[in-house]
Amino acid sequence: MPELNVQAETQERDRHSHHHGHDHHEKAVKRSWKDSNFYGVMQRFAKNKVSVVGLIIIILLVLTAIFAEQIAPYNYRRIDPAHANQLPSAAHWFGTDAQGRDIFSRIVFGARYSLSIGVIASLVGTLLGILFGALAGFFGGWVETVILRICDIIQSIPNILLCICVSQVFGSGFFATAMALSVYSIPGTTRLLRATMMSVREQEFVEAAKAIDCSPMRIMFKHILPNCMAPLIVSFSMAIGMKIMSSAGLSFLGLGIQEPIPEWGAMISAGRRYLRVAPHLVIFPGLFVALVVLSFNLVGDGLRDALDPKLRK
Amino acid sequence: MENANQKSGRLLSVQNLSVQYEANNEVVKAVNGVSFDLNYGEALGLVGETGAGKTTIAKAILRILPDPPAKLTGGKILLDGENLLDVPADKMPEIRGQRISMVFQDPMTALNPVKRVGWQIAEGIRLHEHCSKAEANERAKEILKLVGISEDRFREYPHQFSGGMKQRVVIAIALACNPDLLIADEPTSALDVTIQAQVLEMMGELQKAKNSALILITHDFGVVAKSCDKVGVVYAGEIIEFGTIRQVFEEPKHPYTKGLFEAIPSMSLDVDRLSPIRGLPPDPTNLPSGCKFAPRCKYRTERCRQAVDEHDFGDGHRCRCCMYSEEHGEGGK
Amino acid sequence: MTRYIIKRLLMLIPVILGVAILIFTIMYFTPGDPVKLIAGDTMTAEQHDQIAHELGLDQPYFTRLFKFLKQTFIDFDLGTSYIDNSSVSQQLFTRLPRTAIIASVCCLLQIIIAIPLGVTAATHQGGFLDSFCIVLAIIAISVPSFWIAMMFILLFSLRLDWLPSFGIDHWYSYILPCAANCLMGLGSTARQTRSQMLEVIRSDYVVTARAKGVPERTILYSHALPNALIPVITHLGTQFGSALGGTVVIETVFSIPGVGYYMTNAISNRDYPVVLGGVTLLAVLFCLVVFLVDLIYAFIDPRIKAQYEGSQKKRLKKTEKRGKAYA
Repeated sequence: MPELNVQAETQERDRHSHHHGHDHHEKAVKRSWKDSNFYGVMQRFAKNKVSVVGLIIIILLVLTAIFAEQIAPYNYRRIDPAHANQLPSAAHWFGTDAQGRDIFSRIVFGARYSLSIGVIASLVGTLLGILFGALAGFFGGWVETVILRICDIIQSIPNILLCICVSQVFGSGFFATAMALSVYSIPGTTRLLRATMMSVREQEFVEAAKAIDCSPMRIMFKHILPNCMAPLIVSFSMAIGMKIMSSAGLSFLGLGIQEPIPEWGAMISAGRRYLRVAPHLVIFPGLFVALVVLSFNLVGDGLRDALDPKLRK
Repeated sequence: MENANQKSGRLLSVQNLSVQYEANNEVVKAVNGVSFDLNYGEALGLVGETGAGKTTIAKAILRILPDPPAKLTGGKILLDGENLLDVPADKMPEIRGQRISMVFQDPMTALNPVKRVGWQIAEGIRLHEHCSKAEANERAKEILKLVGISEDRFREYPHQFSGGMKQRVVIAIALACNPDLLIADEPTSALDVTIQAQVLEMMGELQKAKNSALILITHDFGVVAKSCDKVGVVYAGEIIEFGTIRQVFEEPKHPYTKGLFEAIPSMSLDVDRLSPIRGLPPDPTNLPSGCKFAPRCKYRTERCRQAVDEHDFGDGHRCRCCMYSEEHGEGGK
Repeated sequence: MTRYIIKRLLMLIPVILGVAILIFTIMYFTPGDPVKLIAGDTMTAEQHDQIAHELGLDQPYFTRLFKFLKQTFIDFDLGTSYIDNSSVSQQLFTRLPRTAIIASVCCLLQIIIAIPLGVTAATHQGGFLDSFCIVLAIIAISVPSFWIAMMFILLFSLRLDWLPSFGIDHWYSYILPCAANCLMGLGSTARQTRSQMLEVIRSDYVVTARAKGVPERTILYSHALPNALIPVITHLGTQFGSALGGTVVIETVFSIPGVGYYMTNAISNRDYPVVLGGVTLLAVLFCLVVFLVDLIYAFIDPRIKAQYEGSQKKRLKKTEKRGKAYA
C-alpha cells in the first residue's frame, strides 16, 4: 500500500517535451509512440545509471541464489559450537552465528528464500489484483462496488497486521508466508488496474476500436490491458522489495519462515539475543535485506521513468 | 478610462531572435532569426501552423521559456529601447505583468485551482502597484467588471467558472496593471465558437481603450483580419511575410501565404475544390538549408535550396522568398 | 461541510464492520486449538469440550460472529483474554496511548522533516541538494525498520549508553522507537512531496503566475506548494496506517508494552479476543485518522469543499468525475 501506488517522479526530458507544448505537439505524439516500444524503454532505462546499478545487484544476487552451493564456502547447516559467535575473519567473512554456522554461507543460501518469496508473493498479489481489477473495471456496477469496498476494508488494516493474521491461517511454511504476504498488495493492484482501465477506456482509440466493431474481449486484451502494463510492471518491481522486507519482518516476529531456514529475517531474529556480544549476527543479514530492497526500488524507479510517457496523463 | 498621456511610437522591437530546444542530444530549432517591430496601440497577428514556433516567440519575449531545455541563441528584444535579454532574471518579474503580460491558450489550466479568482487578479496589482490589499481588491473588482463578470463572483474559485468565463478572468489578470504590451496566445482556441467572438471583441476593445499593443497568436486569418493592424506569417520558426493587414491580405507575396489563402473556403466564390498546400512542415530537428518552405513550394528553383533573401516591398511589407530577388526576375506568378 | 462530515462518518461504519468481520473470519479459519494452549495437553476429551463450550468455541460460525459483533459494537466489550482472563478492553486502552504516540510522532516528523526536504529537492532539481535528498529518501524506504531499530540500540544504548534499549518508562524512551519507525515514512513522504512539487511547478497556472510578474519564491510557496500538498496530505493519511503497522514490529524490538506487542504475543497463543479486539481497535484508529485527513483535504481543496457547500448536483458530478480520474 505505501510505495506501490505508482506516483510520477523525476525525469526531466519527458516533462520538457511536454513543455514545448502545443508548438511541438505533432513531434511529441510521434515520440511517445516510439517510446512505447520495448527497445526504447530499455534504452531509456539504460541511461539511468543508478537503476542499472540496482539491476546489476539484483542479477548478482539471483546468480548467488542459483549457484549457492558453489559459492558458499561452508555447509550452511554445519553446526560448530566450538566456534560460536565469532567475529568476521578470513575464514568466516561475516563471522559465525550462535551455533557456529558460517553467516556468509547462510546469507548466500538465504538469497534463495528471500528472493523467491519476494517474487512469488508479488506475482500472486499482482495476478490476483489484475483479476479483481479487471473484473471491477470490466463489469462495473455492483461487481465494481463490492470489489472496491472489500479493498477499502483490507486497506484499513495496517498491512503488517493483516500479514500477521493471514499468516496464521496458512501456517508458517514458505508458500504459506508467500500467500500471506501477497494478500495486502491485492487492493493496491486492483485499484491501479481499475483506475488505468477507466482512464484508458475513455481514450479515443478505444472508442475507435468500438466503432470498428471490436468485441469487448478483444478490446480488453488488445487495447486496454497493454496500456495498463506500464504501471503494473513498475508496481510489481517495487512490490518485490516490499515483500522481501515484510517477509523479513514476519520472520523477525517469529511468524513467517523460521529458523533453521537461513531466511534473512529469521537470521536477524535469531541473532537478536546476541546483539550485545555479537552484533554481526544482526548487521549482515540486515544489510542484505536493505541492499536487495534498495535495488528493487531503484529498478522500480528507473522503470517508472523509462515507461513514463504512458504513465503520465 | 482613456489615458491622458497616450504614448506613441516604437514599443517593441524584436531583432533576429533565435531560440532552440536542446534535449536528448537533439536540437529543435524552434525560432530562427525572427524580427519585427510594434508601435504603441498597434495589434499584430502572428499566424502559422501548429509547431511553427509562435508560442515560443511569445514566451521568449516574456522570458518565461523553461530553461533547460530552451535556449535563446541570439537576437535582441527591445522594449522601449531596453534589451530585455540583458535584464537580470530577478528584475524580470517587475516587467512581467506590469509592462508585458500574456493570455494563455487553455483557460482550463491557466488558473490556480486553490486560489480565489479575485485573489489571483489582485495579486499582480498588489505586486506591481505596491498598494494595500484593500486597494488592490477594489481595482481587481473593477477589472472583473470590465471583462464582463459580476463583482460578486470575486470570491469564487476557478472551478466554479465556465471555460469562457475563465478566459475572461485570465484576460483580467493580464490587463490588471495596464500593460503596454499584451500577448494573447491563441486565446480562443479552447473556447466554443460563439464565445470566441465575444472574448476577442472584448479583448480588442480593452486593448484599444488602454492603448496597449497586442500580439495575437492564432492560426485563423479571420481572427487576424478582424482584430489586427499588422500580420506576420510564421513558418518553421521564421516570419516569412510581414506587413499590414491590407498589404498581406490583398497582395500576399510568399507562396506559403498565397497557399494559405487558397486553402480558406470562400463565401463569395464558388470553387469546387480548395487547394491545400502539399506536404508537411519540416522536421524542426532537421531543417532544410536555404528556404524552409522550398520542399513544398511550387515555384522552387535550385537557388532556393541554398539561400533565401528577404525582399522589401516598401511600407514595411517584406517577404522571405527568392522569387523576388534580382536573378529570379520580378513577379513569379 | 457538515454534510460532508456526516457522509464521511457514515461511510466509516461499513468499513469498520467489514474489518471486524474479516478479522473474525480469518481467526475462525486459523488452525490451532486455543483450548489446548490454555489447558495444556493433559486433559480428557470431556474437559476439553467443557472449556470449549464455556468459551463458546463449539458454536457455529454465524452465531459466534454475531455474538462477537454485538459484544464489540453494541456492548463495547471486547471480552476477556483466554490466557489470563483480564479484560481485553482495559488492557488495550492502557496500552493504546503508547502505540498511538509512536505512530503520531512518526507522522508529525514526516510533516516537519519530509515535506520541507521534498520541497528543497524539487526546487534544486538536478543539483547536489536534490541528489542528496533523493539518495537519502530511497535508502530510508529500503531499510527494514526493525533492523535499523536494533542498529540504534547497538549504537545509542549499548555503545554510547545515551538512551534506554527497552521499555517506555521515560519520555526519552520514545526517541529510539520513533526514530526507527519514522524512517521509512520520511523517505516515502519526501519522495512524494518532491514528485508532486515537480509536477506542479510545470503546470500552466505557475506559468500564468510567472507571466504576471510574481517572484519565483512567492510562486513556489504561494502558488505551487498548496497544490502540491493536496495529494501529499492523502499520502500522510495512509502513512499513519503504515506507522501503526510499523509500531507493532518496533514494540517487539524495544519490548514496549503497547497494543502491537500485546497482539503479537496473543497471536501465537491463539488468544482470539485479544487479536480481534486489537486489530479492530487499530483499524478504527486508522479509519478515524484517514477521516480527519479527508476533512483537511476538503478544507484545502476548494473543489471538494464546493461539492458539499453548494447544492448543485451537476457541479458535484463534475468534480467527482475529476476526482476519479485522479484516483
